[in-house]
Amino acid sequence: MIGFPCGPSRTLREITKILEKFPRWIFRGAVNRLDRFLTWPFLFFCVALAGCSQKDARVVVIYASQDQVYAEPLLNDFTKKTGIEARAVYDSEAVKTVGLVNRLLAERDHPQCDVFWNNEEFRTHQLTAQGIFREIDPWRAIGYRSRRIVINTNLFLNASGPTSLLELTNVQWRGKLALAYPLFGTTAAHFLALREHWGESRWLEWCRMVLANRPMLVDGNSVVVKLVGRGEAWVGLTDSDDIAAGQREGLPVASVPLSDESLLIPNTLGVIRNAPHAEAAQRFLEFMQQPEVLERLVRENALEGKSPADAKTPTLKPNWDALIRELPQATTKLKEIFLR
Amino acid sequence: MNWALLQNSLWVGVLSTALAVASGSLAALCAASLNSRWRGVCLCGAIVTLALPPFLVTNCWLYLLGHTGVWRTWLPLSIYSLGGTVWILALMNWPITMFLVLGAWQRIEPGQLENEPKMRGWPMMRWLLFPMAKPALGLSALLTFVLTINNFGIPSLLQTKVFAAELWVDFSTTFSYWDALRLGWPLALGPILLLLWLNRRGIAWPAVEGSVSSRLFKNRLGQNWFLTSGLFMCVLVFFAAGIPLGQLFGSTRTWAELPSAFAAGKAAFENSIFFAAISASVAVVVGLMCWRWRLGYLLWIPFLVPGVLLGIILIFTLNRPLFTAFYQSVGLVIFGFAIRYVALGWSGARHALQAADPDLTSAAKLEGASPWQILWQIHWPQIASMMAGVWYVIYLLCLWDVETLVLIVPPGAETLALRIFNLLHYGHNDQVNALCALLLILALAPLFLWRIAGKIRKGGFVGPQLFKTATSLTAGANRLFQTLILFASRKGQGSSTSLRPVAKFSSAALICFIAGCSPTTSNDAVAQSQIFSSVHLIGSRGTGLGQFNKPRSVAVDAQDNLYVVDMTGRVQKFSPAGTFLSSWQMPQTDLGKPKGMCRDRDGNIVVIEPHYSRVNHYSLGGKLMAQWGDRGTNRGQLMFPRAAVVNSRGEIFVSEYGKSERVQKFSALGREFLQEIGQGGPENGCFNRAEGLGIDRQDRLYVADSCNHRIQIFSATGEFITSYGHAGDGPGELSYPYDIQVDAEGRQYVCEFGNSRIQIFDSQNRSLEIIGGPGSALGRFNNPWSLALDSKGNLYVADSQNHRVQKFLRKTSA
Repeated sequence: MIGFPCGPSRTLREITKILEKFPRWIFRGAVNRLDRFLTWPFLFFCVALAGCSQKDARVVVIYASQDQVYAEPLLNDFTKKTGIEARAVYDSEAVKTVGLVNRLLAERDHPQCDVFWNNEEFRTHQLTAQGIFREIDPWRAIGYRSRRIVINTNLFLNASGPTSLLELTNVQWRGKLALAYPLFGTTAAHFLALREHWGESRWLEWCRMVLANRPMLVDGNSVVVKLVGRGEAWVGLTDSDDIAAGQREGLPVASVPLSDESLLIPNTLGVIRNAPHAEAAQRFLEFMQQPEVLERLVRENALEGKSPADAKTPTLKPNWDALIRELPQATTKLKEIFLR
Repeated sequence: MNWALLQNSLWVGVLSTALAVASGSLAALCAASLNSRWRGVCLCGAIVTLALPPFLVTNCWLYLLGHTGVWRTWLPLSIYSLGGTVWILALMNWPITMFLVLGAWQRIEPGQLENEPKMRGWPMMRWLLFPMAKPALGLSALLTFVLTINNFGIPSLLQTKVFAAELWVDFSTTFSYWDALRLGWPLALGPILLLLWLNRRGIAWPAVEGSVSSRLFKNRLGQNWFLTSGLFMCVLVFFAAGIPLGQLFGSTRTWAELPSAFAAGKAAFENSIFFAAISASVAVVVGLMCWRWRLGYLLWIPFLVPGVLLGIILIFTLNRPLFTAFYQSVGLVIFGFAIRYVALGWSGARHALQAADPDLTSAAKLEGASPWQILWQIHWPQIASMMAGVWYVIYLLCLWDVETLVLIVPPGAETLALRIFNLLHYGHNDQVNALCALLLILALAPLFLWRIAGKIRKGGFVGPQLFKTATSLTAGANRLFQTLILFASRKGQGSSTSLRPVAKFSSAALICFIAGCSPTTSNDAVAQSQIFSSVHLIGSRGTGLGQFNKPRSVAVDAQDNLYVVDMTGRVQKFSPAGTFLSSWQMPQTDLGKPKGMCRDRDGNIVVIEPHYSRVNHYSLGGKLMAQWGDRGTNRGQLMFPRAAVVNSRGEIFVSEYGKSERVQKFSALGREFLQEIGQGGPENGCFNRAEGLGIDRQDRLYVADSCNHRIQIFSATGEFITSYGHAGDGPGELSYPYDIQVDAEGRQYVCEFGNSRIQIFDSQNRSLEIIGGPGSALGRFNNPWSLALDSKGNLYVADSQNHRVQKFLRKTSA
């Protein structure tokens, strides 16, 4: 009824034993005349709840930051084909650091997750550095999205939009530009990659000039698309799948073609170190790399292409290890510029 | 430390708080003046406002006042500004103040409004409503400030850079909780202050009256303030809930997506109900279990710390082999929610049980009731409505909770709120809107179910009435109303913080609601007495003509007209049939109200003013004929006179208590001091708070020695003759006798304040019969205070806490 098979009665007995071991003084404060009638039913209730656990061998636990709308049907297909029940916890970029990444870090000593399906690469590199993934074949990249300039097609009927990020500093976009805080998520990754690509001084100058154009700084890439779609902003910097989502919603938005300043964002599938269901995790990894699965994700606009190698235009190729090393310094600069 | 952002945050916090508190206070003013049905509508509006997702409200205002907003052509206000941020945050948070202030005003007793004729309009707000609401206002300001200063999403969307953003960035870069806490101390300061605030101990003074009726409140508030606050409330609910709801439900795409959203999120729908209902129940039960804990206020810590931090702690504590089964179960979610919100359960239970009638509990214990019987039969009827309100508040909080859940939700156990949160980012607006609609339905479902259950129990529920119930789901909302006191009454409101009247009132209302009963309106009843044939009701509660607020003294004139003084400081005159004739106001009531009446030798009405240490003689038309009395404790002076009686020679006896426990005899009109009788003490001839006085045909003096629980009789010359009675509730026993009258046959009618009854003794001081007992039905009493006998032997009783006078008509044979 609530998506949980009740566990074996053995679990109930175990929990009862644990509770019985609690010294009585713990409950002493609660034991007054009223409490006596409530304490044991309450404990029984806790035990009963604990019995509804998920001890099952044919299960794979997936922490997915891919859009739930696309991920959910795929997981159902996986279950149908393999008989392995895929149990997912979803996340979104909106929660970013407080979401699955934090949960993986917090659970690292006793992992509950088998596979982390991330919809971008930067955090995966961070988690790798933290030793979250298994040592051999820790993670794989599948498909890609990209960072794009989005424009409002109604406002650009008789004019051309910017074709380069450098053009975003033009005064004609003053107050008409929207982007997510370049300190979070894929926007942060993109800015860090640009720093490596352009060099520190040029990058800093560009950042300051972007800020001088009084951009609308928001807390998510989908918000950028909404603002551009509503005409609140003319131009935005966002993710390709958000643009596709905006188009699906009927917003008058279009993306500017890829350039050498664009960043491809592959999805990654990482198997957790000491995963409880390692075998099932491997099966899931293999399932997700099947061409038909990737084609489906591309068809639904969750991905832009099946492999980064398919991208015809040369894009940014960041050195992730270096980016992570320099993250604190770069973040300090970004804070100085965009959080003042 | 980014001081510029901190300054921005402070501006956002302070301005939003000021606007929200001001708006909430005005809304509370309006809601308090409305009858239960309309008040329920207001409360529903406030609940919906609190339940609306912030992004929905913000998007709605962007649609209206964004750069291309539909209102921008005629309203040149930009929502992308500090003002816009403040506006939206205030719109979302004003219900907090409204609930808390309404809760605080619930403790106002009718007497506080009825007793002071000038307590109207602005003076009422300045001298009564504001002082009563001050702790609640402080608490709501603090809560709102904490909520607004920690908000990051809305300010960033509206281009206001705030300190919370700095915190997020730092955390996402370093993953260091310690650094985040160190950096975020200014934001943590608010919760710490709140905790200290909650730790302040208030004194729970028992209150004996019910809460103020909306009619009385509205009447005292005045038409202008009522209309102003009403208009403001309409506008507020329209802006805060009406517009976002209109946009949500007005979109055809929301309705089109509803079935598919429900189908896709069916499990989440079920999980939401399950988690919220069970967690709320657990939090309430735990609250009942540990309400006596003195350190219970520490339970507020999980409520005040960020939910994510709580999640991390739970993972750290429970993600271990020993707890694996529990960690992987839904029990973890229930546990997490219960820990986060148990403070509400604890606080609610504490206040409800502290406010429960201790006398009733003691009586039950003395009668040998088992703890279960005490819980079920004594406590639960008193606290049920309060706990239902607590349950509902926790239910709502659990329904929307994301930040506690995001780290601990077991795979496959997502809730609607979590699903909405996840879908939100990817721009599935229509699905999100449809899910929001489902969540709102879930939020209001308990109120509907409560209402329907009541209808079914009443036996009057049929299908089409479902629509009717929509208009009056307010009964459930009122249950929420009781809850609000749990926050407000934490504070040291020196005057009254007891919930007992609220609990009593609510229980009574609930019983009436379920049983569908209505009180009798008959003014006459048969008297259960050998001396009196029937009882007739005079007056009702109120401040109008012929109405009373705690009548404390009665007297009759030679024409058998009745005179009554009550806590409004008026003397009201009634015909023998109980018809109101006239009234006059005592000129000074600042120090205290008049109490103690009799008829003097000239037929004038004597009215005593204890707090002014003086005796007044009024003509039957209300003209002051004489006034006497010097303040002091010497012979012939008066300190705190309580009652008077006149003997056949026209001499007047005055009883006193306080610094001088005695009865003094004066010549007519107090011209000359004649005699002092008694002093303080338990011995014969001494007094402990001498109250009412009586005189028989032989001019013997009868003194109701109230705190010695006896009647003392003195000769016409003041010598002690005898006494009778001792503390108890049996025949011949007395409990706080407050007045005594002696009829022509020598029968003594003793008014027992403590036993709420009239006991009649014969001339040999033997108990003849007992009339009445505690209760509000005709013929029963609630702290009767004073008696008067007319020329026909009919007995008038000032039934003080029932706010009425009862007239017992003598049988002709008697």
